[in-house]
Amino acid sequence: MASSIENNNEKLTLKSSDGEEFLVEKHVALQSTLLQNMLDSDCSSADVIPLPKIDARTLALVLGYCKKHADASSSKQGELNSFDSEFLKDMDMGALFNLVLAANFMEIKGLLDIAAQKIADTIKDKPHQEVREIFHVENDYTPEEEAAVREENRWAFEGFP
Amino acid sequence: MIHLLRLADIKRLAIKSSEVVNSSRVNSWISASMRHNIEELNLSLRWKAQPVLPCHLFTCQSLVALKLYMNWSLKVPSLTHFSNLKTLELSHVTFSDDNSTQHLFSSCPVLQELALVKCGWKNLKTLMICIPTLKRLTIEDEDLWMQDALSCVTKIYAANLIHLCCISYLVVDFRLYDLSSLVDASIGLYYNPSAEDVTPQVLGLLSGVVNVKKLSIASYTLEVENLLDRLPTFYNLTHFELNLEFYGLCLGDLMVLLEKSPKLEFLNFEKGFDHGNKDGYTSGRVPSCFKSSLKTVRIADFEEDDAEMLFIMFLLRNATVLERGQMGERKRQRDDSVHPHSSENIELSEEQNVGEGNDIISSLPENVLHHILSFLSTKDAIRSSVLSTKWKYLWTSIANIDLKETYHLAGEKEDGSFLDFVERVLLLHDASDIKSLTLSSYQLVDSSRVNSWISASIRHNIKELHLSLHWKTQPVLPCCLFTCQSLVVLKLSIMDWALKVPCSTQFWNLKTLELSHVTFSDDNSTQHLFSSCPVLQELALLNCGWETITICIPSLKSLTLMNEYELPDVLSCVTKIYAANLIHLDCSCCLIVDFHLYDLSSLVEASICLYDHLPERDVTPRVLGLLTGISNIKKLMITSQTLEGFNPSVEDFWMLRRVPSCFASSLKTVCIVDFDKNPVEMHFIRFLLKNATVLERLTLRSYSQDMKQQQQKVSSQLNKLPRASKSCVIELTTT
Repeated sequence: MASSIENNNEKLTLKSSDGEEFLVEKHVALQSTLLQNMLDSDCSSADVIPLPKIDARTLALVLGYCKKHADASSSKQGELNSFDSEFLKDMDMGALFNLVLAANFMEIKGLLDIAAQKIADTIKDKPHQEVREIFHVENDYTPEEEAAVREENRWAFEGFP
Repeated sequence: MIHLLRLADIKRLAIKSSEVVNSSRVNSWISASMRHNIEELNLSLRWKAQPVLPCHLFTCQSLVALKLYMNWSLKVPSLTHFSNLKTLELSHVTFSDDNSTQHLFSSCPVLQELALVKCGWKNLKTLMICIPTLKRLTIEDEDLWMQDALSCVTKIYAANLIHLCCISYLVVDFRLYDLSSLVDASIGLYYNPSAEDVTPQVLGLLSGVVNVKKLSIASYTLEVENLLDRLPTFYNLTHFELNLEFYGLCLGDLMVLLEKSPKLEFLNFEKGFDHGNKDGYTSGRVPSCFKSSLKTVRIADFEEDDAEMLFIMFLLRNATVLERGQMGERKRQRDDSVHPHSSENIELSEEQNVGEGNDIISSLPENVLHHILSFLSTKDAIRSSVLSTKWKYLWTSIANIDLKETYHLAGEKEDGSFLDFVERVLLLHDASDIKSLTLSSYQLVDSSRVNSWISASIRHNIKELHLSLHWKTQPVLPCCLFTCQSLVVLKLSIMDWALKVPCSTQFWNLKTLELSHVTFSDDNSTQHLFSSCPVLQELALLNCGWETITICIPSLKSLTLMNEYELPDVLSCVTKIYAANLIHLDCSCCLIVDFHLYDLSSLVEASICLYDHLPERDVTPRVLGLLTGISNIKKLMITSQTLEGFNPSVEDFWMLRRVPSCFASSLKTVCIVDFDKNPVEMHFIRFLLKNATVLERLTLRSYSQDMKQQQQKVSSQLNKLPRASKSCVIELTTT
């Protein structure tokens, strides 16, 4: 515990896939289990940590989320909840998918949860035809196969076209 | 002025005035203009009385165009012959009878354009427009509905008609005959939503224009019920325009419409989409014109809302021969770097949308997809199977399985398919754990079948099991359930069958047990059950039957007992409760239950609702016994019915002489719900305010409409009552 307080001012550098570098306070970076494990195994905070799968725009969003959650004290759960719901509001699908991938890669459970929840909310209660349109899912069933899948799972399609 | 022109011809005369004129004066002008070989006459006047236009107007040979605006009936002389009239426009003209209009039209042998704008047709039963030379016909009568809503049949025979514009209220029943030359049509049909079915009329008109190449239509015309599917196919249609905001139809309807236009090249949303239209697709059909002919799509007044974006995404993805997408924005300028567009048209091409058009969701890692599915209901998750082959079995990882049979009406046949489906879901489940399983069915099931489901769920380390089933015979639940180590929550509803508890029972981790409609055969079996739950915290017995039950569970924190029914032949259900750590007690029972409470020293709150179906029984000892057992609680919610056993006389209530000591020492808040200012309430409030010296707040909630209206008055009345506590706030809320 004492060491983490000492290291509070320590910063590390993250590099996005498109080459942009972000200087991050260590306690913010620790929101990510991936970074935590990296720091635990080989404490090389002086080096630049490359994140080859995450572009600068997404990384900036991710770090914004981590900073808010790292800085807020546990007593302000209500404030964090409203931050979370505002965080993804009006985000387009492309950005949301980048974010969910980044959260999965960096192992940030809270962020993964809210992003997955947001995508699930988009699917919820919608007919599958509409879900296909929204996410551009290529339907590779033949009409006969599709009918068979529907029939096998008839219970789930009650009330849907 | 006309008289001053001596020699030259008058080619065109237009007189428009809002002054009231008399017939003779106008006639002199008309006569003068005719002497000058008038070609085009346009009169928009207010006659003092029914005009009688000069006879020679109706035989004028020079006249090519005649436009009349008059709020009077048009008297057509028997000797009428417009030998050269090519354009006739009548506005706000009343026709006296069917014959006069036919006579008028048949006297125009070369008429090419006819416009009837807001004419009064109330005297007409049939308006026959049989003009072989006609090329353009405009009928506009949107005000007609204001008049007597008589239906007028309009028959149009016009073999050479090229343009038809029809903006009409649907008291007019259009019959179109032989419009084989028609090239474009503009249609807007209004109808009274409460009127009878207008589908045949709309369908009739649209079927009559089925050969057009260009069609412009007001989208509300298409909102008529059951219209779209019955529309004929417009085989020649190349240009299609929605000329009012695309609103009441969803995009799926639009697709149905486009499917009827296999040669469509140009699709125009002239007024854009209405901002409120958020409906998505109800149909995944891609109209055939998307693949073969549709080259240009234009959305005027593009606002980039959901419906528009959905449509554009759908379009870009499916329209393989699309060349231009024009998005015009009329009203606002905005700084939007992602989708730059100005008031000029912008071009969208598929290349610019790479990334948006990709199937991004299916390319997510499988663990992320499982995570997304975990936030969906079981139904939604299973329905994802039909998206594409990749999704076929993704749902088999879901940790929370909730399968409830849809209630079937008595007449419907139960084919057992739901039970098969339960089996399928459990069999297909992948290697991951099942956190919770909820099964609810109305069908009769076999023990062996249910047991296989239970066993399957236990193999997947089930934590919460919720079964609400109708067993065919006395269920014998599998032994492995009663020794399951993973189980934390167990809720069973077994339709009044007895619960057989094996001797080996040991629910190591069970914290919540809820039993509904379970009959306990004897006190030993229940004692055995409860004592096999070493960490049980919540117990609920809902509509269960017992003669004697002993609930001795030291770990218990919350106990709910609910018994709605009396059991036949049972006069008393002796219920003994030993629960030293119980915090919350909720009893909602008929007074057949006889409570014996022991050592409830930890109890903080209780909710008590006792009632008696047999008023002659003396149940006061039972009520007293229960209330004595919970006498050290902090919060008590009790129904007044429970206290009726004490039968306080009405006089006592009115006297209220003794002041309870809490009034002077501790009572801070009083809340009366459903306050309606009745005398008893007012009496109590006066007594309370007068005597409660430390009262801080009196909250009154009223649901009555009267109170809502006189809230202010009642509030001030209450505030005037004498009170012992100066700081007391009286709050009256109405809903």
